[in-house]
Amino acid sequence: MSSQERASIVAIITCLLLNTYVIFKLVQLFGAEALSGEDAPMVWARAVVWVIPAAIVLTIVLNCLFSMASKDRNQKNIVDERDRLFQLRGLYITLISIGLGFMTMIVVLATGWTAVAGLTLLYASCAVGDLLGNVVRLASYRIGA
Amino acid sequence: MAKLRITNTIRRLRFEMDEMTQQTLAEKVGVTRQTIAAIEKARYSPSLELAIMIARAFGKPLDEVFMAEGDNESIDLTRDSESEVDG
Repeated sequence: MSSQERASIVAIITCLLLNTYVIFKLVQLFGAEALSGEDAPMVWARAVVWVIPAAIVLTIVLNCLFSMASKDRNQKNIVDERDRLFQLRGLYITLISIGLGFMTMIVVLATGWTAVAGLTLLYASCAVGDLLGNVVRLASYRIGA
Repeated sequence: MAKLRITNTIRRLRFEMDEMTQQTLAEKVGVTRQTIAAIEKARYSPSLELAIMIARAFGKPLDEVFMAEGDNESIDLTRDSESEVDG
């Protein structure tokens, strides 16, 4: 398994772990009606803002653990043209998802939904896009082309 | 444009070169072992730059390492390029 294939597995695990917790947290906040006041966008942002540093830390930790457990741990972390091709393929899927999410968010806000609903929709499109992009990247490695 | 399948003789050339491993070839041309394996199985067509580097690693001309196959006939890359120059 190359370092980039391993990185795509780590990205999938990180995305699933963090977003499962975010969903759990947001459902809790919606249940407590904490996202219905004037400061709802701030409450929402405070519930989600830690995802970025947590994703960075979790990615580093998981990459180290995978690297230590891997048989190819002496292999250099080379990124070649095939890796870049698969990265672009995944990125294309991610960008489509984020683009669709952004357009949907504009429509949702224009039809009178709350800012929190729009933000949640945009976040969801980013999370789904990231997950799908990495799944496509991993599938490309598994299929071999 | 007709789709061409690019085949290669990397596996044979590796064994002719004292059973060179995929890892050794990968290190010589600066790619991962997995990329060499994918090229060898014709699952991935390398860039022209990488194809030239692989050919150089074996000390062979490009058309001795990579060949294009049509549906039923094999295409000689050298002959094609010469006929295009001739015009």
